[in-house]
Amino acid sequence: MDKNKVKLDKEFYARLLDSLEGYAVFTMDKAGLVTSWNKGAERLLGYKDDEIIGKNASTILLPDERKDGEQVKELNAVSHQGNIKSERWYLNKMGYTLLSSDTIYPLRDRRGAISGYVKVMRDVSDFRRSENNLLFLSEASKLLSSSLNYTKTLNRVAEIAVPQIADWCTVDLLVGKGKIEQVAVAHKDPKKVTWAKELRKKQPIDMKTNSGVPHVLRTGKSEFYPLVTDKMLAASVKTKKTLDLVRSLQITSVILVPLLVGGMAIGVITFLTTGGRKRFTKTDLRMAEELATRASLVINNAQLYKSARENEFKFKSFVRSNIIGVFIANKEGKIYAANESFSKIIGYSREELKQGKVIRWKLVPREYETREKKAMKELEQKGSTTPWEKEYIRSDGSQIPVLVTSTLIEPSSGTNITLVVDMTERKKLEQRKDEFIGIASHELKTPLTSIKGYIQILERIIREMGNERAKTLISKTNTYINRMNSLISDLLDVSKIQSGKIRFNYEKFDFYDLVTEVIDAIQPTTTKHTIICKDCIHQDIIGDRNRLEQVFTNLLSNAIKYSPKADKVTIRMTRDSKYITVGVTDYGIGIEKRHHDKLFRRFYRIEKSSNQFSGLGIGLYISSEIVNRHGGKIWVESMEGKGSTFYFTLPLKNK
Amino acid sequence: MKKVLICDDDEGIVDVMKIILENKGYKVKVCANESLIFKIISKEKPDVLLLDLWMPHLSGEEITKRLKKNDATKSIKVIIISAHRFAAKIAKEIKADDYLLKPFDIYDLEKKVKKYAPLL
Repeated sequence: MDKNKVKLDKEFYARLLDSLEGYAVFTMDKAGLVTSWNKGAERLLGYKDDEIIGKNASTILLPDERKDGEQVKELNAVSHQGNIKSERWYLNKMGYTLLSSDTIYPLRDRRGAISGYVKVMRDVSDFRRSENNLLFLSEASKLLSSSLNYTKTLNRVAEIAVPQIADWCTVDLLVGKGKIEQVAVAHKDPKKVTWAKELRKKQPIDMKTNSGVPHVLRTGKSEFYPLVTDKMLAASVKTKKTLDLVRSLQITSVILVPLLVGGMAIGVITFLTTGGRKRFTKTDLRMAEELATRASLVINNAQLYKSARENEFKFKSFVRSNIIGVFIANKEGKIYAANESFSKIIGYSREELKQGKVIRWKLVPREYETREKKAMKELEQKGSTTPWEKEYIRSDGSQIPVLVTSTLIEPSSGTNITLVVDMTERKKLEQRKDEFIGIASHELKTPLTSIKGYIQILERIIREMGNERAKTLISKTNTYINRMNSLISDLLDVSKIQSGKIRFNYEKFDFYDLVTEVIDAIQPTTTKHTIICKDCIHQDIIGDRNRLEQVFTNLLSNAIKYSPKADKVTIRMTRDSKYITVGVTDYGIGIEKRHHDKLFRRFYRIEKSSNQFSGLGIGLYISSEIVNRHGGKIWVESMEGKGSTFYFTLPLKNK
Repeated sequence: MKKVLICDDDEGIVDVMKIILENKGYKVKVCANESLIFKIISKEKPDVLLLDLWMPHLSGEEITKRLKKNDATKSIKVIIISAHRFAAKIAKEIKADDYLLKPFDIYDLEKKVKKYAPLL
């Protein structure tokens, strides 16, 4: 053979080999010492040709395999079998592992004897890694979606992560405030699982550390340590004892990813490799984050499902309790679910209700239609209604009094739930109470009529006899009879206002006449006060004369009653284009400002004065009801110790 | 002599009205049991009937309506005597001639009766 040709071949091959960028190619002599080393090998394994040529090729094997004499085994096998294809881990000069798919051939001399070996390596770390990661991710996803018991599935996920993805995998969940529970542990060495659990018990997690599980829980961000150095270990622990322990774990690479639910970290998945076998890359980090996202979704769903089930259970128990009627209707008013109570109230069977045969509007009598519409508007705008009283038309056509309130349960569709209280008994009771008060006041007034009659007869007789002292006493008796009469009337009025039964007989009259009549009637009841009508004007109004007389009488009697040391009460009347205003001023004890509004409430009594002045605390309540119902207003202006002016207005034209 | 018939189930009120009206010079008849009222009316032929609204057997409203429907009795002046707040309204509805609220003033009683049965 031409010497030149051989030289050319050698250069050609060398260049050819260098140009195969993705491949590491190197040759060894029979003893396994490196004889040539291409650029691809330099790139993949980190050694320059002058660093490795002449050294044993076992340098690039993993330490354990080097110890086991893997190199010699392989070369022997190749010598016997010819080329061998395999996939194995190597150690880069920088100390990280890589997976290579490689072929080794024997080199032979002219006589066919083995003169050395050539190894062609292709780095499949990333490819295999991605493949493994994808496989793992898909299996893990299947597991996660298989059950709602996520603690159990997370444990399975951790198990399948080992050893393909990591040597050690743990899942920690936040339970309660600041408490972490390790819900899953898997280790390539099963003995270490028990050991790891024990470790956690002995050494609870310090929640304040700036790395690891607590930190990820706080920040909600992943942590990634491709290569854990001894320096890092030393910085992460506080005592020598712990450092020794952590060192013994031989941690190489760590990924921590948060489980996020509603933007909050509720747990952490940790992947670790040990013994320098594998360093995690960004590909692994992305996979871990993807896994965490999927697991978070599952946890979120499971929690939502759990709370939905709990809510459903609570709701069902509530509906079944049957204390009140409950029905669910859609926006169109179709009732499609109801409980037994509601069925009883309206007289339709639950079957009929379930079939959607009952439309809520059809249950509403004509007289309540306007109120119903108002309530539905309120429901739409505010999401719920204030409870309102109405009646339902039952299946047999009869009407039943109810108290109802509705709340939207699905605002998007307008589906709402309505609670219905049967008011029949309450109404009956109210009616009986009203009847009772009606009868009672009639019964009280009957003897009072006789007393008044006899007293007046007696008054005449005494007058004929000319006994002045007896005459005064009789006149006083008359005053008290009248007071008693008005107390009885007031009681009856309160009952009527309460039940909404107060009715007015409107007529047109001159308010001036009313004022003077009442003054004439009240003036004789006081010896101290002069009732002065200062600017009293003639004005026709439309109203219930008896009721307005009651209002004015009430204000005038109060003025006298609460100004025992004064000598006058002043009345003023003014008028504008719409209203007549009447003011009754006394120069008595006055009223503290904080009582001004409350005065017109039912049974309101100012404590300080209730010992000094008798009364039921209903006069102003009745007066304000009467004035309000006439379309007017009533209020007080007063200063303690100076006196009070009670005003009321009445519209000139009645609505 | 003008005749007044009082129909009320309360003895005290009947007694008071009787004293007042007899003192004024009226002939006063009393009907203590309203179920007998039509018999008494046809026998006594009163000028004025003082009638309570709430009575156990027959209501004042019913009595008034029947009296006012009957030609023989419709000229009898009916004055409703009641503690009912709406006595005025009821009286008008049943076409009674007048009303008097309990507890009444004896001067008002005299005035009202005098209006329908003037004394000569």
